[in-house]
This record gives sequence, structure tokens and C-alpha cells, in this order.
Amino acid sequence: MKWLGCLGVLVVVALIVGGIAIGGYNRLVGLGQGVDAQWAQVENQYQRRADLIPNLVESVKGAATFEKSTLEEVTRARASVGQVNVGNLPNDPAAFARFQAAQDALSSALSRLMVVVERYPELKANQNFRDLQVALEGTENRVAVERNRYNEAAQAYNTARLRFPIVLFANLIGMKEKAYFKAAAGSEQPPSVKFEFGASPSPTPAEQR
Amino acid sequence: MRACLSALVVCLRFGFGVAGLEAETLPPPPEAYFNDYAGLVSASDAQRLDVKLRRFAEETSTQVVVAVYPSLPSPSLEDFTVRAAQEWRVGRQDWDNGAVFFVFVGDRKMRIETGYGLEGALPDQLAARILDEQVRPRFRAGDWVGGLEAGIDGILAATRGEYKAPPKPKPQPPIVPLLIIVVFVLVMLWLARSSRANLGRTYGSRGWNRRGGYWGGWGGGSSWGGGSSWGGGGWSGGGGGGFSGGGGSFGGGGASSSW
Repeated sequence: MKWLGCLGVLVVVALIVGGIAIGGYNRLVGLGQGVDAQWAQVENQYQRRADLIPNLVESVKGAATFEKSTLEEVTRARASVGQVNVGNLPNDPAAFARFQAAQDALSSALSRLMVVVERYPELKANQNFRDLQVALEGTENRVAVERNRYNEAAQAYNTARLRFPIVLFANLIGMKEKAYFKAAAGSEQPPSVKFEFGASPSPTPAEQR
Repeated sequence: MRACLSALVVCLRFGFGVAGLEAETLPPPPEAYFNDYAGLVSASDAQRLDVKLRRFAEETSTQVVVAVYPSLPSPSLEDFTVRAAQEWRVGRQDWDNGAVFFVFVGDRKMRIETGYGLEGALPDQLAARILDEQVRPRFRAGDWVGGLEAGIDGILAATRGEYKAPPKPKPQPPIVPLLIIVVFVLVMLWLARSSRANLGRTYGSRGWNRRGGYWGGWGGGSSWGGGSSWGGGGWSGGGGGGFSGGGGSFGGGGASSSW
């Protein structure tokens, strides 16, 4: 009879743990969906930025003929962004890091371009170019916001994933840890910019975060 | 040794940065549509602009909030404004049709923060033009009221046609309680009639005439017309009161400028 009691206790414990595990699993699934949705927002905004670049390059090309190298750098960086395949990146840390590196390279090429064009008054007087500049600033800001929210969603998911008892079988059932966006290397220092001419103070420098 | 020291410095800086982020608190949601925390404009002007924004919100359901601060409470303008606007939940939840016009007097900076649902009607380029062409010259000339009003007018003009406030449900008497009353009255009539029938035949068909008395007695049922209070629902931020967020979301749209 004693073994029956033991069995009963075991069954009860198993039921409790199983119930907690199922609840935890369902919660994790919900959080994972949140991460994926937020990732889609990040991709949207990066796509929006990539779509802006051809127009931007065209309008700069006309006025700033001397800045060929800067322009080429932007074009190259945009092309390499297109090559990073965008699949299920949050679950693939290596691909995620490559994606971020490519996007960050494009960011810095763009910010150099926007600094350089400050030297061309006729470009700054062009309403079409000003609109493009505003669109680019707005997009960079949106990217920053959505990246931030992605990191928050990923953190919530990763925290829930490491909770007991989910942590015991999270890897078994393919619930992988989600990758984070990291601050770009060297971003703690402001970029150094050399002005050869007596540059006039710019009223609206491109706000970089 | 040097490397060690610099690593330590980086660690410390990182630690402080994180601590600073944690410590930074967002201002509580404003209580009005026009909020001048810097004492820039007179009370009557503030009142006038507030009424203008509130009326706009009632007509269109689009919430436009103005917040004037003496200085920027955060190192990053865009980071602060998007988090504050998101925290205040300006705009309706299902349409995200909110916008906030921030002014930081000490820093000479301003920004229009646009909710997701207004990014089409008020794109960044238009927001930038409102700030650069309408507001900036007036602020530079010291015309605070004029600048704020020009900014508000620009935002309202851009967003006016985008959304329409859903019609408030008409104060019609709810159908189910009415049905219940009708059935109840009928039952009462029937009971009255049968009881009168039991009284004898002396009343005859005249008994029916007394029905008027019953109708009169239950005439109090017209107090159900008070069901008009059912129509009061609608969306938050309505009524004559101040501002209260409707649940809108922000994704960093809008434009910044300075003067």
C-alpha cells in the first residue's frame, strides 16, 4: 500500500510541474510572437531607409560632384545590406550580428554623407533635398525606436525562457534565445569630423543617437 | 596598466549610463491639451489654445497635445519625446491618432511627435516645414503665443480630414427594457381584467375604460427616457474636462527643429 501512496504523491507532483510548465510554455509562445512582430517592425523601418537611399544619392550626385567617395561608400553599404539574407534572424545570433553590422555600416556611411553635404549651400537650399534629409532623420529615429522596443520584447522573452521549469526543456523544444541589438563598437565616442572651410554652424545637424 | 585603467573607466561609464537611464522618470500625463510648464504665455491665451485643441479632439477624435517645458529633462530629445508621448497614450487606441508638440525653451529645441496613425496625414517633411517655416521665425522674434498657435494651426490643418469622431450613440431608449415594460404592462392589464371579470359582470366592458388608470399609473415608466445616460460612453477625452490619453501609440515619427 505504501508504494501506492508514493505513486500518488509522484503523480500529484508531476501534475503540478506539468501544469506550471504548460502555463510557462504558453506564455513563452506569446512573448515569442511579440518578439517576431517587433522584429518585423524593425525590418520595416530598415527597408524604408534602404528605399530612401537611391533618391538621396541621386539628388546629392547632382550638386556635390566632389564627394564621389562618400557617395560610393553609401551605395556600397546599401548593396551589402541587401545581401544579408533576412530570415529568422532573432533566432540566429551569427546572422543577426551580420545584419546589424551591415545596417550599422550603412548608418555611419549615411551620417558621414549628411555631414559632408552641409558644405553645399545650394543643396541645402533645395527643398527636395531638405525633404529627403528630414525623411532620413525620421527614419533613423524610427529605427532607433523600433530597435529599442525589439530589445525590450526580446528581454522579456529571454527572461521568461530562463525561468524554471521552462529552462529545462526550452532547448529541446526549439525555443531559442533571441538575439539583441548591441550598441555599435566605438559609438561611445562622437565621430570626428574635419571641416576644411570655415563652416557655418548648421542649424539642423542630423540628429544621431 | 593603462589598458586596465581605461577598461575600468569604460565599465564605470557604462554603469553610470545604465543608472542614469533607470533614474530618468517621465513626466506624468498632462491634465490639459495645452500645457505651458514654462510660463511662456498668459493664462487667457493658454485657455484659448486649450479650448481650440479640446474642440478639435471632440470633433475629430484626433488628440493634439502641446507641452512647453522650461528645459529638456533628458540628454536626447527624440528619445525623451517618443517615450513621453507613448507613456501619455495620446490618441485613440485603435487609430493611434495622436500628436504632441513639444517645446523646450531653455534648449531652444522643439519637436512634433506624430502617432502611428497620423504619419500619413502629417509626414515628417510637413512637420519639419511647420516647425521651420511657421514656428521658428515667430519664436526667434519672441512671439511665443504666435509661434505656438502657428504650430497648432499647422498640425490641426494637416490632420483635420484624416479622422472623424465616431457619432455618439443617440440617446434612444434601449429596446430591451422597453420590451420588458410592454410585456409587464400587458400582463398587468390581463391580470386586472381577469380579476375584474371575477368581480362580476356589473362592470362589463366598462372595465376596460379603467385601463387608462393603469396606463397613468405606469406612466412613470417614461422615466426610462433617462436611458439617455447610456449614450455617455464614447471615447475618453470627450466631455468638457481636460485631457486624458486614449491609448494611442508612437513609433518615433515627426520632426525636430530649433530656433
